[in-house]
Amino acid sequence: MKKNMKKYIIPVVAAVGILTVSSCTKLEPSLGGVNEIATIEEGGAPTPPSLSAVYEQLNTLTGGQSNWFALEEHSTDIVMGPTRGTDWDDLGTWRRLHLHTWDGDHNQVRDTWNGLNGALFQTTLVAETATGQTKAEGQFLRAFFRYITCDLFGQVQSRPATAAAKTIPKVLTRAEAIDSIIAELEQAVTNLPAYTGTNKNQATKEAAWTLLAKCYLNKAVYKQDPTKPAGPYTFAPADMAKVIEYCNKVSANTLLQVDSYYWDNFKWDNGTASSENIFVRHNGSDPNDHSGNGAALRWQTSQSWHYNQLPDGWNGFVALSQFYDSFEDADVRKKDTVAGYTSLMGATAGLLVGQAYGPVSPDPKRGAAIGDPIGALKDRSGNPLVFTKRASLTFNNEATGIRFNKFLLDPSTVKDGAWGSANEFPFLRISDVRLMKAEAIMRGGTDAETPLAIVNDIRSKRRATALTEVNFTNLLAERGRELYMEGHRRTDMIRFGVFNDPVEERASASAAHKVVYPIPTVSLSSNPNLKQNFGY
Amino acid sequence: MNLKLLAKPILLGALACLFAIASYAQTKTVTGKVTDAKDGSPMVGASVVAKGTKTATQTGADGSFKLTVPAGTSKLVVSSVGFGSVEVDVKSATEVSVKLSAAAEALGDVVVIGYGARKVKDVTGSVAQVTEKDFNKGQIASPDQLLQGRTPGVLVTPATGEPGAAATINIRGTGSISGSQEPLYVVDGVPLQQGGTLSSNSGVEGGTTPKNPLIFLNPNDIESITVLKDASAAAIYGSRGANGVILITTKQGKGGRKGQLNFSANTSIANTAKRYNLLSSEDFLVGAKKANIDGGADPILAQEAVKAIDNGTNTDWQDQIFRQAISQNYNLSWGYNTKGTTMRLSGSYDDQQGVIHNSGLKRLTGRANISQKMFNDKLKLEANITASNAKNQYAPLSNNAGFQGSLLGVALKANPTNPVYNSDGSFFTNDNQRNAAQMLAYFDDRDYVNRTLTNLSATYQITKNLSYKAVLGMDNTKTERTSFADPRLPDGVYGIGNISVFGKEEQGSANAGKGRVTRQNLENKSSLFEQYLTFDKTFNNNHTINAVAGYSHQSFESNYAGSAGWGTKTAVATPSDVFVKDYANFNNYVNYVPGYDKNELQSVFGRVNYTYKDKYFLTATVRSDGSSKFGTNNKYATFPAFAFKWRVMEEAWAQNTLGKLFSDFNIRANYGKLGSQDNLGSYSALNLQQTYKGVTRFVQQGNPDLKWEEVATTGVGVDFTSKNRRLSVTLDYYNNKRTNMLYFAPTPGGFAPTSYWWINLDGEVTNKGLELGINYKAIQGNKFKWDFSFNLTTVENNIEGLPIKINTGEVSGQGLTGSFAQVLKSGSPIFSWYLPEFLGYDGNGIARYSSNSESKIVGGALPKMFAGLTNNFSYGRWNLSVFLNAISGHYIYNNTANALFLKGSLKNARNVTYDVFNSNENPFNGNGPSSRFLEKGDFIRLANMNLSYAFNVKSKAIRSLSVFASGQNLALFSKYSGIDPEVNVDKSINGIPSRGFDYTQYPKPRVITLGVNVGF
Repeated sequence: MKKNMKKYIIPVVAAVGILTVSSCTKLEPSLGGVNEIATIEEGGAPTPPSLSAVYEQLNTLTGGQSNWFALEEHSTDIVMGPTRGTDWDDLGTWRRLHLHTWDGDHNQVRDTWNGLNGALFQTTLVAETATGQTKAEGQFLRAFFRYITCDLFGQVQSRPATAAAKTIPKVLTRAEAIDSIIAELEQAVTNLPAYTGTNKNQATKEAAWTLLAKCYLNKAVYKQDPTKPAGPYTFAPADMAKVIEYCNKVSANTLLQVDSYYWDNFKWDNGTASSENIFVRHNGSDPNDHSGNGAALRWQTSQSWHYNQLPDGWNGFVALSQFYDSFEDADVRKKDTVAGYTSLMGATAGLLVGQAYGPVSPDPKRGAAIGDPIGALKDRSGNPLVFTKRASLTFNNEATGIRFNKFLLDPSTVKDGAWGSANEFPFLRISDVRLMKAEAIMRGGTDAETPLAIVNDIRSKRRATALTEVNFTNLLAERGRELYMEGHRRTDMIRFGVFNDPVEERASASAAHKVVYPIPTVSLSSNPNLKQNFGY
Repeated sequence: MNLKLLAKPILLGALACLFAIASYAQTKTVTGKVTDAKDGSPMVGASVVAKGTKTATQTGADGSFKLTVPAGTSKLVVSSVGFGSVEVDVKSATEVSVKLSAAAEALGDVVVIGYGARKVKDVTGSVAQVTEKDFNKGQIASPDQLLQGRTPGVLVTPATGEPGAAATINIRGTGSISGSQEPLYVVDGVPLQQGGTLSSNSGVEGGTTPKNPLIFLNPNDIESITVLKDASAAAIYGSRGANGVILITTKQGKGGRKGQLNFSANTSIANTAKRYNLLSSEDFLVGAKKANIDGGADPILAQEAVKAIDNGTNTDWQDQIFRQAISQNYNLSWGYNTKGTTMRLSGSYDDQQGVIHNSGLKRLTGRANISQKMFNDKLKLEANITASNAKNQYAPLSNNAGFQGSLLGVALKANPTNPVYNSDGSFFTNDNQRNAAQMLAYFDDRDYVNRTLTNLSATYQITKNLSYKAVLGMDNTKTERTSFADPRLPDGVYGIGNISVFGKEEQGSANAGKGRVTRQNLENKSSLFEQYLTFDKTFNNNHTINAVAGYSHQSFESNYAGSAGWGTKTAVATPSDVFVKDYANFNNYVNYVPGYDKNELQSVFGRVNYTYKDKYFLTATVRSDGSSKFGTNNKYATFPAFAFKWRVMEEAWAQNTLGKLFSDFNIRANYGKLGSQDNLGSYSALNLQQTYKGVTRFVQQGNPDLKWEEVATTGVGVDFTSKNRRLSVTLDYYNNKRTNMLYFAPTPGGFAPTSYWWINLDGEVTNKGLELGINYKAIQGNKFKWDFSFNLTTVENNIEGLPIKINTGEVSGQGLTGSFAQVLKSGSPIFSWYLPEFLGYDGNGIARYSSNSESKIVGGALPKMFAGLTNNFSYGRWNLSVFLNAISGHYIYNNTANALFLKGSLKNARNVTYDVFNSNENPFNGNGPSSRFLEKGDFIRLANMNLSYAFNVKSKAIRSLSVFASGQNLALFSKYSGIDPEVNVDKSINGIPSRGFDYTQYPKPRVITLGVNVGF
């Protein structure tokens, strides 16, 4: 028996051993399809991503009604997201923005931070690994995202994109961040191309100068003592001189003019019709372009429109009546009948108040379509759909509140249901540049032009009457009328020192620290270098 | 207990007795006494049968009996529960003395464990085996349904009532905080690959519940299912055993040389068990008007408004989507066995209709299990091969539909005055509401899943004590899902937008007027190679060693391809046009980004069972696993486990003490570690970039420090059998601690290509509790027998040391974007409800909440206790089995009510239940998630009742014949306001699973099945 065992065991064990060893693998990962391993050893260089994929990071801003757009607009005196019975509670996310009661757990505060930092990683990757114009474009984009991060959150993270993933990013304070943004832009601008009218979806010299003007104009806010974030701010004349210098550089390009027709900058053909838009997110309709969806701006309409309008909306956000009342009636920015649009859609451009109009199906068996005669619309309970001027933050029926119609959608794409409307979203616009220059002069800069002339030039093109004087109050109001729903309002209100003031449906002033959003709680736990902002 | 059910067998039995008496006029009487062979004590209630007849009696209190038997009777068969049976010669005797010995047959049963089988008496760890006779009966789509409620420690929660829907199976609680919580399934030794189902892509928005991965197995082919519950049992599958291991063993050939042919057929009728109590048209209009007035409308205007929403009919929209479903199932199997060969071939066909129109499952399976011995029985070759084709048809349902809703939500909230059709035959649509009948007609969503599982093995008996086995396993699944959306679907309410591929939108591909097809293919391949040595020897009669050592390698590969088409070749616009549902029927196509994924596991493992004098049992197991998913430094981990068992009755001293009460008494203890890596993607440790059509994206920075998630389990248990062997009890205490949890965490500061990445999270999740299993043979008469088995499990779950609070449990519906209802946080059980506490309505019908509406923990979603009770009654050839299960101690979130059943919905012309109609809620009251929608989930269910009759077949052609009727989900006792509290719709957020959500899911039906089994 024992002999038998030995006789068999040894060869079998040997055979098993050999089989085992020979079949042993090193368990190396094996990839296929579109995935490849991108080596980033510490300090090594990965394959740079396609530049178009980096521009795609702008979609984190133009991707919808929430996050960056909501943080910039819902906290202001222009937009509000009211609860409508069983609709739009959304765990209080809109209400908290209007009431300034957000905290580090607010979902949009978190998602905006994450989106911006994802963009910062990708833009850093190009800014650090590319050369020449590509590098300059990466630097411009990084500066653009850093500027937004600095403005919203007061702290900017930084790490080499080629560092290991577990590397804890360093943190630039707001004061350090604005200096590094300015330095990077001033370095990048030399390698950027000039604005040609067809490259507004790309980084250009004019875009960089505009952003530089913005940085200098707001520098006092970012250099402020973090324990007194709401000011009062001290604007240095040297900074204002820089603002004027850069604004003048942009205006020197005669392709950029304040447009004689305001809606050319927003309607579906703004890619060619606008002479104002300096830097935009394009709309990605080029069949050969694989660089991302771009700005699909249906949400700009749907976030506000009623269900029974066409295109049907989500019946959400409204304009505050104070804002509506700040316009003169003739101002095209408030209301305008747009050729090739209003006759088909029923709606006018601007702000919608009163009885809503739209296509009404003559055949009760089918829904309305573009091409049907325009008539008065009804709400879902069967009552006439009349948008009221006032809305409450918490108790509304489905018709309360003024609706926005800023980015007019192409009626033909509404008709075909494809939502391929080609509107571009302008991040930087010449009328903003002009108003910044006026403001810089008022804040201690000098120039041949006067603020009043600049403002009235714009107002006349918007068919508003000329002002007799410009002061900080009516300049801020003018910026609101000119730039509403473009993501500038919160920054402007802070710079003018009125962000915390009571507004409609928020009766009391908010705490000073609300001029900076908190660092999201999850990010504080994943990066110990981040410290929560003052007051939170 | 229905007396009518008993009356018939009693009558039949009486008739049979009469016949017996009539046919045997000549008789003789035999008397005798039956005693226990061990101590000579009289055996009470032992059965005495004249062999070959129905003449029988039972022994009395003194063990004696008296039986009149036909004159020609040569033998009596004497038996008793827990004892063997003895045949006594009575050819010439009229007085006999019979001694019965305790039978070891129950303990001699064999349990399948990983890499081998053990006798029940030798098993040291917590192992539960369910065999065919204890399986749930009736309409069974997948093997986990056989098991539901039948064993302690195993909680099977079906996600929905859809045919073949996946179920959540938790063994001794749940600990995983990310991804799947599925146990590892091992079929005839081959661990299965997870996944293999595809989601829809042309239907309504949102995700759907995946199909059950086990659907490819024919439940009729299954001999037994073994659940390895603790580490000492599961450690042999160490790396993948953290969620428990379920071993499925298929049937082998039987019936000797002659062979056996079995055929069974059954038909089921399924209906909805309960429906929502929705308003009739008349009440709907009254309610809508009142809600408008309550909302401040002028009564005259409100009257006008109600006219505008009255479309003049009274449609029961639930009738539009539900049906009585008829299903069929056929099984044919043939098998034989000789000394060297066993073979079993089987095939089945199922056609299971769902109670929602356009949903169902058709399945064809074939199986061949063959084994052949050679070379003086030294070599045994085995092949187990399964092939199956399952075809699913899906109704347009979704787990997280928004305001517009998926099919069920659409039907529930539909204005009841709406007609289904316009006069020209087109579907009625208005008010931007979907039409449920239109959804059923205009979406078409089907898949087929072809899966083959092959297991080839060779065992060589090297010596009497040593054998070598090599196993080659292959698991291949091909899935194709094709979904059509009709061009006539109105854009306003379905809004199926442009197709986007790798960031590029295909302009003009939106559905409206064009139609859409999506075809997706997924091919999963897994291959297994294993070899191991088994050593089995007893030394000096006292020391027995059984040892296994081996090597295993398994790889998993999956390939995805998908494409979409739009623009039908022939116009589809009017109601009479035909939408040709053919992939080739479109003008434009685009491919989705293809996918590929591969990972590998390799392991060495060993186990030693040592037994001393059949009294002390010791098991030591170790498995060392490597996975390609982890970073270079942490690829390998080792999982050890130990178990000890003491058979107390083998001690001499115990005979006179414990022996007075028990015939068997064991004490067990175990400790071990298990791992998990299944939830991790193949490439989570890597930096990845993707290049497609000339665009390169840097998409991920991986975590090379990732390591195995671990579970340490500790358990003690006792099991005993009563002296008379009628009662057997198993009691276990378990305590599982999970650490190094794999978690999809925020990247440092979010400064990375992705906001989240995989890490091992600090903290631990503990599950502890008791498991009790009782089997009792209550009545063991000659004709009437009653036995019952009862199982009960308690689970206490807790999280400690978690550095963060994790949100999950997305709440869906209008105005609920971004809402969630569950958290995972330290000091609370996993899946705790985190909501504002609802305090009722104020005088204006506005909801009041405690403490400033701040969310707080208001209950748990995990059951604290679950139990099952099976009663088996047999009377002669009749058998009745009644199975009840109960679950308690948890809360269900009624997201269906949160999204739909609100006064504000009624005001906006959407239907609601009578509860809402009668409530004093203000129509402007918000619907933010709160404990208002949280309800106790406790229930008792008459889950399964099966009545069968086995005919006394005299024919030579037919070996056996039986018929059965069974009912599933016959009665539900619960205070839950929804359809059924046994539900678990997936409402995960960012990969963090959720628990206990009800949201417009496929309802669990009530099923009646009639069937026949024939053996030839």
